[in-house]
Amino acid sequence: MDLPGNATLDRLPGLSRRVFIGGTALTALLAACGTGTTTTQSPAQTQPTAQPSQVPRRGGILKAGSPPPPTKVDPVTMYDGTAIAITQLVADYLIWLEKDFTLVPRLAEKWESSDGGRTWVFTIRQGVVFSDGTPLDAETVKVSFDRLLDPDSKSAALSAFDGVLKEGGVAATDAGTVTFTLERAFSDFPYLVSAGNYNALILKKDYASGGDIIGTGPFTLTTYDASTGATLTRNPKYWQQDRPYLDGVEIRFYADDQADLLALQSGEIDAQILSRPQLVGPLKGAGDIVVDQVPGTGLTAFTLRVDQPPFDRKENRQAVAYALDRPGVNTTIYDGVGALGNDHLFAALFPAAPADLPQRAKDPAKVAELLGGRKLSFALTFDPPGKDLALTIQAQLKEVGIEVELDQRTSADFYGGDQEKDTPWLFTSANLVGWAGRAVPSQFIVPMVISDGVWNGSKYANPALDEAARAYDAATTDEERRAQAAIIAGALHEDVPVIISVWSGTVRAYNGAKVAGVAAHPSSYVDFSEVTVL
Amino acid sequence: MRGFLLRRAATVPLTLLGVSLLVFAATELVPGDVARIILGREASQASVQALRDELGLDRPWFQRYADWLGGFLTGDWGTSYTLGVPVQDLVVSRLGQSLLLAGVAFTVLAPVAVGLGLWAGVRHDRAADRVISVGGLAFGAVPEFVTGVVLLVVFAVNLRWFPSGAQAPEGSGPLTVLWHLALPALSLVLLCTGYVARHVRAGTAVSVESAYARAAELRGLTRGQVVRRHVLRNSTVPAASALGVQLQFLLGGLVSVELLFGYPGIGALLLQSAVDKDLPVLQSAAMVLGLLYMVIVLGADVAYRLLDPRVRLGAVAS
Amino acid sequence: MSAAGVTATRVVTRPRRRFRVALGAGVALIAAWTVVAVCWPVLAPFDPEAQDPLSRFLAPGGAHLLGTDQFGRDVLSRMLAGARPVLQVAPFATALGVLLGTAIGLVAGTLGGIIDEIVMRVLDAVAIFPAIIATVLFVALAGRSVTVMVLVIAGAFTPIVARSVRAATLVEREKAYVEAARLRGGSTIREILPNIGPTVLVEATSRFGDAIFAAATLSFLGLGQPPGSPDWGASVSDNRLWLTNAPWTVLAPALAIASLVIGIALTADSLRGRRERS
Repeated sequence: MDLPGNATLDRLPGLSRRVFIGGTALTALLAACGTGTTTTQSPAQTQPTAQPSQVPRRGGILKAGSPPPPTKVDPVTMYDGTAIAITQLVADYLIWLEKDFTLVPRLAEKWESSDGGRTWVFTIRQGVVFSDGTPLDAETVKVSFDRLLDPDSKSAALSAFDGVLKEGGVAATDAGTVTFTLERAFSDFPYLVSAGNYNALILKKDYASGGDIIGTGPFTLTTYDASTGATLTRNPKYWQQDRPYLDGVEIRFYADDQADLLALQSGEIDAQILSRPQLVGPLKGAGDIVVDQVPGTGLTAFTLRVDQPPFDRKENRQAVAYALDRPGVNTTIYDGVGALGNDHLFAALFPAAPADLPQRAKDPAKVAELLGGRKLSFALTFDPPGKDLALTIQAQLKEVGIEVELDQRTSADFYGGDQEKDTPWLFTSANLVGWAGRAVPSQFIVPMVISDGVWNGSKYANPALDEAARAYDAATTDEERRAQAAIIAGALHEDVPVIISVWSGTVRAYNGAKVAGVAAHPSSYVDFSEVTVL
Repeated sequence: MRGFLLRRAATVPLTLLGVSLLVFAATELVPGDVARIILGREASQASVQALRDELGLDRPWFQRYADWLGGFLTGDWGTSYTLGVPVQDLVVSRLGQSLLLAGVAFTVLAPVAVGLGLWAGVRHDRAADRVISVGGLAFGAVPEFVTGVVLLVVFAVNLRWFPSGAQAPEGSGPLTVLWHLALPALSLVLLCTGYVARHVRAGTAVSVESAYARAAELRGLTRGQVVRRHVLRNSTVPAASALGVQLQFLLGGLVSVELLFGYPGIGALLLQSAVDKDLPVLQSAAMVLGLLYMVIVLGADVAYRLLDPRVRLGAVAS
Repeated sequence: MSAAGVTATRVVTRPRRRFRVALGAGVALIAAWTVVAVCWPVLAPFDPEAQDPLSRFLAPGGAHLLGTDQFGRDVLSRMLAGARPVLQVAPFATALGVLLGTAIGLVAGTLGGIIDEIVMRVLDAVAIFPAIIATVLFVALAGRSVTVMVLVIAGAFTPIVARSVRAATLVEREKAYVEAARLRGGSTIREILPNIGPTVLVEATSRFGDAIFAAATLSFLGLGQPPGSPDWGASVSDNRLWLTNAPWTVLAPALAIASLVIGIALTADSLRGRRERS
């Protein structure tokens, strides 16, 4: 096994790796390389490692660690981070989602809407071929969406398109144009066909669930072993000029977080795909490990059932919300990379987020006033990923006299059962459910808090909010959106069906002595097309 | 001896059948839905129901059990619900990995632990004995995932003498494979040595103190001669028994070491399939491990009979 | 007396004082932890569950003698409070497992024949049954509790103990004194029992360590003590993630486990040594 950073060290005689990497200037530099933007500094002024961003170094294999996917990798039904990452390396979306949530044209060159946001026309990039040589055309794009919209597809994307787009709504108008006809006006529709709807990859016409995954992406899947990992090699037919820089990517599966972390620390892997802020936080600046960090829109929803005691009383819900020390949660659970939540579903990153609602903070006097001498105790249900937050909530509420009994379930149990009748995550009186970051607030609001939302665990029903949510999606001007957002956020903030204490940021750790160009993404997506091996 | 072996071999299928029923029943009772696990929480309830129908999960239990059993007996172990790969390939390859790790650990463990136990027994109640007994217990009380992490931090992260993952790249030579297995094997040896050594020591100490050993010493034999001629013989039975127990542990209970060292063994597979309710995998893995266990137990019993003439005579008499 | 007599005297006398020391140390360790298990609310300087986001991962020293963990909880207080769950699970699980295992192994080994065969095959089935499935099932049906852990761990121990005890019994059974008892028409079990004592003691002491450890492993797999329990095993498995940057969070509970197990071992060894001599 080769030692990390040998090549770099050779170029810098007399410096030990520790000193070399420990320097803050260099860390900043590496971070600059990570964004993929060209640096304005001239090569003479900087360390020799600046060169990769000027003239990218080609070749090499990136070794990345990730948990094994729980199921067979199938782009249509996948939902776990590793499967999503693997398929994103192999296949493309119409539109990529940048880390600041801007939309970047990929297989679609441009798109425009007419009919007040009910009809969307996408122009498909010409000259793109799949890695096996098959050309991409509008028909292929149509088939890819029909596959997801088929009621028998079992795809999670069905939920995302619910009420917006259904089978038969996609047409290949000509070889280079695809038209989407929606059920209702939806101004954020491009997000639903972008990476933001992670199942929406463009695959070959004849792709059937379980078959070989062939895409137009920067790499091709060479081997896959459910137990050990996947190897991907450079796709020479990739449509983006001169990309990717790497010859290949090797993904190794680690079922244990610590194994993944130790593999990174020991130099066995160069990067992690899904890093946990809590775990990699303490490694920042230690040795060669660089932790890239971006603000995100992920959250752990602390859902309270408004239709049964004790949370049928609004005062009880508000009391819990005022009992939480949100900066404390951010520090303890997210290593400080998150942003404070204000119990409504508009993260500050969402352009329409209301700015005038006061930030809710810990207020023991207010809690006492709201409880009015009543004793509040409840059971909090969660699965293993929610354990640390549950413990922190329990400890914080204990300080103001609210007693929490922890009810930890296995993930299979927590998400098992019938979603219409009894599944614990939607039917227990208080629970914690983690949500990965989404690009638009509607992706949270529609399923989680409108009266007939599929994942409305709080059983919250507010006609005014339902109406505003519909109007928000149809709104065509920023002004109108803000107005509707204010109504939605105000209702959620006041009624507290869901407590959002922190919007989690996302981190990605990598070995700065070995690779450059690895970047965090708010949805933990991967784009390794500009990664270079140093 | 042949009668004994035949009798024991005959009970194996019956025991396995019983276990398979128990595993099946337990999996039925554990909450959760494999179809939901496959599709994820964001799939609609209708999709989940469609998959349940496809997999035949709503058929009566005896039908599903009979299906599985019939397939298993005819060599068709089915397909993993979650991973979509043939169960047989999965279980056999995972078992092979586990056997390799267990084999390496056991090869180191057996001579070291028995040697330490004998030494402790002969040096009965002296400092060496105490150190071995207490040290063994202390290491035996520290979970292998803790010693494992410590070994990893020291030898993989800081010194970089060993890799952090136990899985050697495909096509590696035997030395590379051993190099990858060194740290997990060491954490297992540290864990298991104490138990075996204490058992061997207990047997040895009793025979060192026994009347015939004393008599032999009185006859003018040296300690070494006494140990070789009498004590060693008496220590073999507890040694075989304790090693058998550890071998069974090594082959069936390595979940945490496998997880920590990123090693695709059968323990991690068993856990995953139990949690995911992936019945075809769980059943087959449990059967294969069960069969292996019984072979080891039978081997240990045969060993007693060969090693200890008194048991051998007893077997003939019974 | 001859030279051999001198040797024998030396063997017996020299360690006697050391034995007393060992016994004292062992009993003291056990007693100390028992006292802590009962009185920790008085002894602990902090609430073991109280979190403080501003003092996470503090190194040992200062107000937090043994430092703090990832929640800013006091490691010393958690170590003291952890004695209680440990002493609730390990002794009972060990006692139950060793008792059942000894009884089964002894009866099977003494009686032999078809009964031995049946008992051992049933035990095989129990031993083969993957403990993970059993635990997942128990936890699902009965929730996480001390009782569930005691039962699961005792259940896993029984076949192991029974197998060892039976092996020892098979050896003893063929010895002359047993034959004599059989001819006298007395109970052979009563004759054999004292002679397999060392085996049972070894099992009990080894299993005690294993019990703490099994509890830790169950926590590692997310099936053990209720979340947040200061149980040593659970603490070790929770904190292992931060071993590189906050080793004290793992060392404190790990050393606590080791000290208790060693205390048990010293006591057991000394008692056995005394009995063997008498």
